[in-house]
Amino acid sequence: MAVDTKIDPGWAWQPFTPSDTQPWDRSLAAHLYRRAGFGADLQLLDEAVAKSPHDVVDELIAINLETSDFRAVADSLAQTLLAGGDPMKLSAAWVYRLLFTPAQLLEKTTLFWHGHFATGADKVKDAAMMWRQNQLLRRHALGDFQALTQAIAKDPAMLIYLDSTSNRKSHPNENFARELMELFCLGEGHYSETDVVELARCFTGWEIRRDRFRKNRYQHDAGEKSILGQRGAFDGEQAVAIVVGRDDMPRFICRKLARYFLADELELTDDLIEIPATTMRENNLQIAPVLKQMLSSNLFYSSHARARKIKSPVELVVGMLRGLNGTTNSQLVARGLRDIGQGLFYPPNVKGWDGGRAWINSSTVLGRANLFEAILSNEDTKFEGQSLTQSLADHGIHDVDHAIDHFERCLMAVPINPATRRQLTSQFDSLGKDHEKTYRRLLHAVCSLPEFQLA
Amino acid sequence: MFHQPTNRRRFLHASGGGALAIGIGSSLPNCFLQAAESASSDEDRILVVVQLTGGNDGLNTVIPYADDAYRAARTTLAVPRSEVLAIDDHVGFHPSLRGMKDLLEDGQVAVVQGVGYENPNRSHFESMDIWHSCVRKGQPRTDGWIGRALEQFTGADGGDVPALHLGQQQQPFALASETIRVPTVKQLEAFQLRGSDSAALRRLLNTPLTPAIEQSDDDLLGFLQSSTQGAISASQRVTAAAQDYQSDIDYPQSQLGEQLRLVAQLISAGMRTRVYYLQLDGFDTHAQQGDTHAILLRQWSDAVSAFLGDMKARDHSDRVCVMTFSEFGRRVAENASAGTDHGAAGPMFLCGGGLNAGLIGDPPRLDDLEQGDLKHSVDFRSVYASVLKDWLGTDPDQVLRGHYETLPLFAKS
Amino acid sequence: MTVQALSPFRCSNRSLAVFALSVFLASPTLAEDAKQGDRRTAAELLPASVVAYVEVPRLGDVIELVADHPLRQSIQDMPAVRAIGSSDQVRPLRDGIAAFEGGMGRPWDEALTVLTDGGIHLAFDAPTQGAALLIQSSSREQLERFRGVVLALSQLGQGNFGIARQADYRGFTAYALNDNIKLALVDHWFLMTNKPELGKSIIDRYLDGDKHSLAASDSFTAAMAGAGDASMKAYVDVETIRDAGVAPKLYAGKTENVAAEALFGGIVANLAHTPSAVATLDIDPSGVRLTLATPHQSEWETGREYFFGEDSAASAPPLLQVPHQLLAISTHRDLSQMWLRAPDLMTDKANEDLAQADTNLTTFFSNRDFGEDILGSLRPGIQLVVQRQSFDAASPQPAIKLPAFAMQFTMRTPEETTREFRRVFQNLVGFINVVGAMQGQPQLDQDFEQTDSATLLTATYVPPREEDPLAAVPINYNFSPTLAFAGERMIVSSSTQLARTLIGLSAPSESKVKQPNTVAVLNADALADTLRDNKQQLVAQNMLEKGHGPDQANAEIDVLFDILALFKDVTVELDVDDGQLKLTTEVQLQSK
Repeated sequence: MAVDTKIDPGWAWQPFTPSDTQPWDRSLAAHLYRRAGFGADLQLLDEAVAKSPHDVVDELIAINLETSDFRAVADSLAQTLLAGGDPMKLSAAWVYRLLFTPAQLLEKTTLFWHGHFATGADKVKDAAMMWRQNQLLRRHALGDFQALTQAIAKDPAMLIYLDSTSNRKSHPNENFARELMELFCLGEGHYSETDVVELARCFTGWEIRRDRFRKNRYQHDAGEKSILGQRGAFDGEQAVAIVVGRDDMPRFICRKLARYFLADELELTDDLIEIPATTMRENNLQIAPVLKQMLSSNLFYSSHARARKIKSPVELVVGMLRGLNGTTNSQLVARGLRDIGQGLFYPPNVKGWDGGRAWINSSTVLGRANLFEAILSNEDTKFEGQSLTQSLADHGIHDVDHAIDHFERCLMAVPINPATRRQLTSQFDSLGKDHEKTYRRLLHAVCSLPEFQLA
Repeated sequence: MFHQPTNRRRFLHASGGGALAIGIGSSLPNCFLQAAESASSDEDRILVVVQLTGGNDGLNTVIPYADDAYRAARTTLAVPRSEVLAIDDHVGFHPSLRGMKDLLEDGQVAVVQGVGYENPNRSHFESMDIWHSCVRKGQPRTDGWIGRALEQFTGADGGDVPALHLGQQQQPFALASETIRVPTVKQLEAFQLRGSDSAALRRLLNTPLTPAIEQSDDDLLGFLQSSTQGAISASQRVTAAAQDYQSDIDYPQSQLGEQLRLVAQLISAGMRTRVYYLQLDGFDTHAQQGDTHAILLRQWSDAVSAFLGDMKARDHSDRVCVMTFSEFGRRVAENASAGTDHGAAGPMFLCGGGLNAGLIGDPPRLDDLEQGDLKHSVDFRSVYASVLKDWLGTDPDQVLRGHYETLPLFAKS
Repeated sequence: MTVQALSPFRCSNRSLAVFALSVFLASPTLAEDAKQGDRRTAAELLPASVVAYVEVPRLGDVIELVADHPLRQSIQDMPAVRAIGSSDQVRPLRDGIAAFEGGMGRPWDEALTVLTDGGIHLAFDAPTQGAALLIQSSSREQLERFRGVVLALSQLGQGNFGIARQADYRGFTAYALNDNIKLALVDHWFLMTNKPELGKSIIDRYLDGDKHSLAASDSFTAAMAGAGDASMKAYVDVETIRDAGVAPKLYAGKTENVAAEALFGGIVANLAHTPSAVATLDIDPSGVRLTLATPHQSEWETGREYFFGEDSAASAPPLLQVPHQLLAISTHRDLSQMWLRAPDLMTDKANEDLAQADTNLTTFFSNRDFGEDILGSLRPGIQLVVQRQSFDAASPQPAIKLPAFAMQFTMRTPEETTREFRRVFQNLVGFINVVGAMQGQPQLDQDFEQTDSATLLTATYVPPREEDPLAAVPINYNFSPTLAFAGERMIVSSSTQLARTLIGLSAPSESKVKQPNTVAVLNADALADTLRDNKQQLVAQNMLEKGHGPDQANAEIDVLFDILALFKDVTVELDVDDGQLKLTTEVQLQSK
């Protein structure tokens, strides 16, 4: 990896202080909201600029639970849609939540865990089960990683997805044991094959019957096990605690969090990642303090992180809509996200989404542009509850040039390449007869640009 | 997860830069030029998989018409001797397979007889999973054989997808991979920019980069720019190929025919996709099998022969191979409803220009059955191994999680 | 000008002033006295080659009826209507009305009534490809004002004011609206057309008369006489259109869609032969009735006897009547014959699909031939009923509440068929249970009820064992599949309750009077109630689709209920006898 110079860990995680060369302005606030959430409209940006960056992060962390009003609406929406039993409806209900939630960081982190503890409705099939898991992830998203992992270890959807619905003494099922170490907590190379075999014995007797988790005491292997250097007659809970308690775990999780929140391709050396890992350890494995440190850091606001991520499909679409206060048909968005590789409740496999450059290929590049076309030509798509023209006019925007400025300000991590911009202005020079159509085409074009794909 | 990140980026960078130098739009992208230069290398070959879902009655597909035991077991369903399209003195094709017979005579079909596996499973789902994953129930199945093969290919992020699934159905597990996501597409529109202003948008996205934009070796923006241009030019090729896709070949009006026509268009457009996967459903013929089976076989045979005729006319037939399989054959004895129940071994078909044409393996013996089913003489993984090694040029052992002898399916092997 | 004073809407729009001025400029000077030709009807002015003709004889009556309608007030009181009335979306409409009133010099309804008191007539002529609009009025003054309005509107649209291009023909002046459309006042007629030849020929007929006008066409006069006193009537010369090669697929007589063939196959057969068709629209305070009629001959039915019966004798059984009835359909269709005739009626592709379906169906029907043995054991009369379903408090309440539906057939040989179908039903329930078990679906419990006159085979979903607050009760619990036999009747029902109700009804008696071929009634009340049962789902759907909040979504769904509350029912009836095929659609309004 060729990031210019070695990053000084001491400097990297120090809280960022605005300066004359790097003032706390709309552009930095927009960076924060793009990463800690899905974007902000101008009003929210201006409110943020009026505060200090630390206060804004504190607030994002503090509203780590949705207001009870919004939660009631979003929950009952999902609940009602479960009646049809179609996980795609649930997917649309999550899109609705992403579009309207006041607790952006909570939702962004819930999506992180969905990719981390990847479980796919194409295999689980039961929408209600997927919904329960989703609630579980949301409940624990910013909390104690130990509690989250203990809960996920007993989650029916997860165990069905990993073919681990039965686990008998005579045939320990190694699937969950392996993924717990490889994908969920430690990473490859931090455990041995013997650990997998021994760990699997701890989970014997854990099974899913009639869609519920239960322990079959007759199938539990009560003998002594030796896992990761510890010895004892461990049961499943103790086994999870041992894996989660490993020194490697916080480094593994913090690396993944840093790739998700900071930059796709940052070289995260042991030195560099040890500091947030220590934060995680010192806070009893709570996630919120780690995120607070990351999102307030020098590194986060530096060129190592700014525009150093490729937007995921969710960030791309939800970001555009939230940035312009847009509303649309959530089902259209849910289907579209699936088409371009990030179906909610439909991760590609047990490893979740790889992210970064893997989002992009010739099919998704066209798919991204076409999804924006579908959204912007849909008559249910509105901005601030009205036409795009009217919404722009409310911001005092009446021509293409200012509209491009506005889109850049609200939506983009890097400015549009000057040549492209010239081409855009000449192409949309006259607003023509149908202003609305022109503005929507312009927005479609802007959203399809390579620059737009950066977060 | 990526095999040669440095090379990949350098390649993309070169691609973007090269395009700048010679003016993109008027020229083909580098990757396409490279392809043209080294025709018929392994990386150039294309595998089209056609899955006959439901369990195709192999015995009434490649028919042992000379065997009295066949007529005895199939009192109502046996195809009259006079109608069978004889291949040799023992076996012949079902009368619906006229197109297949013509291909065979043209040296473009290899029929592998008696394909199956040990302890055959007679559940659709289980058996299909075995064919897809090459792994028995009980062992972890995280990916499929094609998915694993794709991981061996040295492709670039941002370029054409290595495999495509065409159809409305759920994606077959064979394509599952831990690192590569295979898209499922329903129609040509997926390869085109939509909307009333798509032409203008295409021009906009094809704007040459200004030197003002700094392009360091791992610049995400540079990557996005070259990927976007690559996608747009791929889409232009596909659109152009589809627009004036005049083919003398009449594709049948069936869904499979339409899908194979789309595959032909994509191949002709120079798409670098290596594997296409299609399905034809309805082979679970438990009752009144006769007409239904004849219709399905005709749909398959007509579509595949139209496709290969088209490929031949366009000089692609030496780089295209259509492999057809079904999750199992059917019982030898017909049931009381003039249908057949789930069985075991059956034939596989490879069609294309690079084959050792003809019958391969022994015809299944009707006097040596296992629980009323045909025994297999060829493990399906041997067929996969041959395709992987001799056609796609990858190491089959890693993909198949074990060693399987290859068969002399391909002309050069 | 007093345009604005006359307008009921205060319209300070600047374009309106410009408009009023141009009405003034465009209004040409008048006017000769009524002539001989004014006594001619529109049909006498039109050429015999007209292939489509629409007439609204008394628009004024319709306007009056709508204005005085008892439902008018309740519509105006709807919040949604009020919101629309004051929104920007209808501003162009409000401006348009104001402009019209300004030009005509009186309120719009009054103006329209007088302007059209001699009828509105619209015709399309095949050889010239010309369309003509003829409006006859007793008031020359209103006609002239109207001409001014039309010319001004067209000039406003083109942003080009001044005197319109004009030309004289036999003493009448034609004005060009644009390159194509011209209009002229012919005494008490307002004439507008896109083809000068057609316009000239109309004026010729007006002055000279013509023995070969449309009015002289036998099929036209016969058709119009049959149409009687309707609020609107239309005539189409199907034969000429057919011969011209319009929509050849429609007349080819082979469809790919099996359901479409069963529903409309006979109508398509008729359209392939009929010389003409007439549509009439009757509007009265209780509702609207649209009737489409064509001549019909039984020799056109060859191959579709399954639809028409032998010699058009098809006579549907009476409609079933149950409480909370949503929809009832009764029809005569010999499905067995249709199935066996399919190769003549449907495309090859459809037949391939049917052959595959046959394979699967025969599996279920234990190896009996589906077309011949199974469908063939039933008489052609089919009765379908759909009922809003109520769930008793003790049983599980599905989160999505579907209506119950049932079909009633008459068996040819009850003894044999009863045994056959009983076994099939058991097979089917067993199959559903096995497949359901693999997919984690609830299981059906079979039972048997014997009353004095009937036998019921029932299947009920076993209630979920534990109540789970998070999981919704699945859609399965809407169904308790039931097969019932009573005498010659066989009832296939989605719910046991509905099957019991139907058993209790008397068997359809052999009617002496010929019934319609097909009749269907949709009841708005029961439809609204069924939707209301699922209001939460509708609201959720609205939130997802429109991006609305809960309040906004609720309000939108309430509009749907407000609209449904205006209607009583919709009836569709197909009558065929030797001589005529008639399709009647009647929408009845609530009478409150």
